[in-house]
Amino acid sequence: MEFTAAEKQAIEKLRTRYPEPRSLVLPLLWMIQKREGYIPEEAVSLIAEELQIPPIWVEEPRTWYSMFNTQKKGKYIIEVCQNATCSVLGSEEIIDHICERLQIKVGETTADGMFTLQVAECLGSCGTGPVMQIDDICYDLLTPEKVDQILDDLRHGKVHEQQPLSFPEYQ
Amino acid sequence: MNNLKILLNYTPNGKSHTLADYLQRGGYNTLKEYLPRVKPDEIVAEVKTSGIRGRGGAGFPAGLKWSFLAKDTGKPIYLICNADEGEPGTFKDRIIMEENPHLLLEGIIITAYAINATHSYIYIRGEYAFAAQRVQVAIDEAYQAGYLGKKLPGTEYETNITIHRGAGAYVVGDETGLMNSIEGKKGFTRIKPPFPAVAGLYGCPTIINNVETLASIPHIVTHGGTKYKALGTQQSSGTKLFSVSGHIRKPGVYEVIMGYPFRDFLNNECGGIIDGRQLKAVIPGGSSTPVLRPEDVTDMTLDYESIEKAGSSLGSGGMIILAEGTCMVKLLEVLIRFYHHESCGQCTPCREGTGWLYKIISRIEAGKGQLDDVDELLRITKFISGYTVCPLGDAACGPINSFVEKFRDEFIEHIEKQSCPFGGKFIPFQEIVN
Amino acid sequence: MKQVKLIVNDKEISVPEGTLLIDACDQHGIYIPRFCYHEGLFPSGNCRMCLVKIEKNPKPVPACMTPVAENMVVSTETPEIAEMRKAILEFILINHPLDCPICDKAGECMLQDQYQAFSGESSKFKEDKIPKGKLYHFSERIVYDAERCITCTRCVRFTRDISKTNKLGIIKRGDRSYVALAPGDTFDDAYSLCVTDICPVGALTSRQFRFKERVWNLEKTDSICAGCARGCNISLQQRNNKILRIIPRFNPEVNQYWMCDFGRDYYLQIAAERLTGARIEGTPSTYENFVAVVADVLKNNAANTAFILSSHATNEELAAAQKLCAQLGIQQFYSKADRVWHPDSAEVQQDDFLILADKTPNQKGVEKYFPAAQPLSGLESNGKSFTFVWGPNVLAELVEPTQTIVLSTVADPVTDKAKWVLAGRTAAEKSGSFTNFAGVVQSFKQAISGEQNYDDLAFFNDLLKVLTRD
Repeated sequence: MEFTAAEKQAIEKLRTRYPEPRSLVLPLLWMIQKREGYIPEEAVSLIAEELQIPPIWVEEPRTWYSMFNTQKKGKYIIEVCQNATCSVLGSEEIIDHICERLQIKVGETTADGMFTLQVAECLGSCGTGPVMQIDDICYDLLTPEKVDQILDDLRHGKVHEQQPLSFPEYQ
Repeated sequence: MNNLKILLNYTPNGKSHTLADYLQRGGYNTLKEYLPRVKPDEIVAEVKTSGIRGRGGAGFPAGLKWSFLAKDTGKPIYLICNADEGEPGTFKDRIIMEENPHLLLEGIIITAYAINATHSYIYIRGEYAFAAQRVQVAIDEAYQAGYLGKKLPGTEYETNITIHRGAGAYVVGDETGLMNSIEGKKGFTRIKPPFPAVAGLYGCPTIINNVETLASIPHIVTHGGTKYKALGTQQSSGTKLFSVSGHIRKPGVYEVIMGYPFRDFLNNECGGIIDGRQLKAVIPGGSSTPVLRPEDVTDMTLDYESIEKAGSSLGSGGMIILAEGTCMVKLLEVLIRFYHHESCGQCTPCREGTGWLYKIISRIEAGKGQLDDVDELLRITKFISGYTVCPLGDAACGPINSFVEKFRDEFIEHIEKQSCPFGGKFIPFQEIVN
Repeated sequence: MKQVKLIVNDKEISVPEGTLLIDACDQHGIYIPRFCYHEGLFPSGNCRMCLVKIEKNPKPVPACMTPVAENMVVSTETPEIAEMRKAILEFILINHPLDCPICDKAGECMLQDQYQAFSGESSKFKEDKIPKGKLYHFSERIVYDAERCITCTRCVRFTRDISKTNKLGIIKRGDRSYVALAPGDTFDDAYSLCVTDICPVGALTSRQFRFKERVWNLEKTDSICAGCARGCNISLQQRNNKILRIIPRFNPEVNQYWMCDFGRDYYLQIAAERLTGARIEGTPSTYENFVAVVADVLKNNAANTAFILSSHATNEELAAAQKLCAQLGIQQFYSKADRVWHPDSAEVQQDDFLILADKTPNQKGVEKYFPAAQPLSGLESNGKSFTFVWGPNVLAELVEPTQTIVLSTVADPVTDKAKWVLAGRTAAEKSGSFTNFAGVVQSFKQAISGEQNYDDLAFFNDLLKVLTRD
């Protein structure tokens, strides 16, 4: 496993922004995850070498931060918020719906490797809950129908753009 | 309600995040007009006078915090903007970052000048990809326009801003956890003293402020601290963003002058409870703040003192409204599951205690509770609160203690019936609203 | 050093400025319970067991992270503190497996001891404990049990600040966390076993000692390591005359709290193939006969004898040998390390912590009693016909055509072919003193009795007796 030339360039730029190389651990873990979809064990020594720090200093953050995947997952990782407001607004039903639709349990990946279902803590969009995040896109005001549409789009390779936050008015 | 907009001072026209729009609204005037005329110490004094309290949740007076900064250490000084916004129920910093990022940047630049910061970091939580995008674009625009990376007009000072992305951890919202995260470590919190203003990021004097706090700075220095102090109440000056969600007709982010009556806010601005239901409970300032019953909030106004008098805390302003029919035990299970998941693991009471509490509450909700479980919850929180390294332990105890205190009968009912009286579900919200 | 006055439990005490409150209390007979604090490590304040009340603070503070301040008023024994200590112990125990019957740490376990002293109460935990891995092989020496671990971070701080290998860390979060190495890594650390000393519970244990013996059955003798010229202070722990475990003892001047892994193995290795008895030309002899014969040989050939000294010998033995050689008139002395560092071995040659390149415990003693000793390279050309070889692994082969007397502990090519061979003793089997590389003289007592071998000191004295009798 190696860093690409473009990644190396980005790393050099990052080095100028922090007085200590250890600060680059999170940015580099993100870099690997963006490329691979997760952070494999080999990446630990790669990053440690690059920053000249002990490998355990890379392994600790890799396993501690919940957004870092330490194992390979599906092409799309669906994270449904299960925290306070979203729960109250029906996130459990959304999770159950996805489980039923995709025939998987929370934490599992579909047989075709397309979708992994996970639960997340508060994603900061409580006003438009229930909310789920897939890659960098936050989908809110979820209903089972909306979820079906989104998953269908993704299956067909459609790329969504983030919609700015827009609050509803309920009756 | 007075329509004064300090933070949400933009028209939602889809372009409010751009530099052009910001300039049109008088943006960056403070940098051009004010900074050349004042010394850094004067800005600190102005902010002190304004009485603005940290808007992240702790409510510590910002100007006072700045004055603790250790000078003459020979070390670099760092300014960190805490954009981790992880407190459940809170989504107000997000609005500023996505729709009004330049206001935040201007606030950061002025603050950096005031404390003579060597470098500024904006720590944006990993989940806020869109917000980070918008802020990065704004930063690029600011560099291009010469507000960053070049000497500020009329001064010898120049500064740089770097965005540092989080990766999913609530505890890094604590300022010491945040610093450890920027340093590349797990977000463990640190024991204070030493305080960050003396030895913080990389051991250097550091000021950490919330997004909303920093975004309030341009207004304070333009209009003066005294005018800001005059807004609001005795101990709570200025305006505060409240992010309101839950069983409410009009969820959203609202800018409120401190002291505004809660009842008016709930029924007017927020449109009242959905479906004409009755109010059952209010969590005023984020999940860590104690829950309140309707009788607690009759005369409550939206400010630190009044909410504290009512038995809770203004916190981050992440308000969650709950209607009759909500199972409070189930909600508590959701909350404690969160704190258990987020406990960093370094200190004994929080690491073991949050797991223990979660297991007991799960059992009660699942209909397997025993009568001594309820007091056991209070016994456990008694030995977490005040004994941990950081306030996450106390934050976990906030909901436990208040839910048991205010809704004890529901816990007893779960136990006596050996099942959840609400059928193990929340109000069918989707059915109601669709 | 400026002194600071403070009041602890209504008693005024005075300590140097900068002292940690927990140490100040220790120094004045007030014990504050702790898990994560260790005097030899930087404090971390995360176990929360050492919280005490300070007058001006609304919340209790960790005594291990609080330096003393003038006029500080401290209470360590309030009812609140007593209740809190019970609670911390209860929290630690809720997920802790009750392994005591099978755990090596029993009898020297901080959790057991402090539970007895500060709690003794039953747990009210009714839930399921969190299962974790119970058998991680961090290396061939170290076994880790994640369920017993209380994530105090002592071991992590040790490899970060003391051995500086940065091998250990704590991965995952909350009550799912446990100690681990980086993926694919092993615990290669010349001081790795120190983590088993400092682990407050039975999470990190020594594979070599695992299940061997209950610590309360061990007889413990203070001794000095003979593995190199550092002379780390150690405790030899034995049962039935067999050394089962070696651990370090605190000495602020020599080794603080630590010792290297090689030193722990040293005596166990020597317990293997030992020489026995006395032999003349391959035939067993009685000790008395051997002494008489050798005394005779030496008396008649002193001028023609090369004497190779052992830097593994005690100062007392060297003094006796000096007297003997003076009596005999032997003047040709050589000295060489009797344990050579092998580049192929995993052993560290030298580092900037404790390990020294001189792998013998008493070279300084040899230099003191035999200042005229030459390096061994001069032996070949000296033209002597008799060689006295003292100590194991000194020569690779006999020096032909001399006749050789050997006083050694293990068999080697020289002992196989030498004419007169006497089995000697290791440092564990005798009392005496070594002088370390810095000139510090350290005494030690015999820990186990030698079996079928003879005391070197007695041998030289007996030779002297025979010679002066005539």
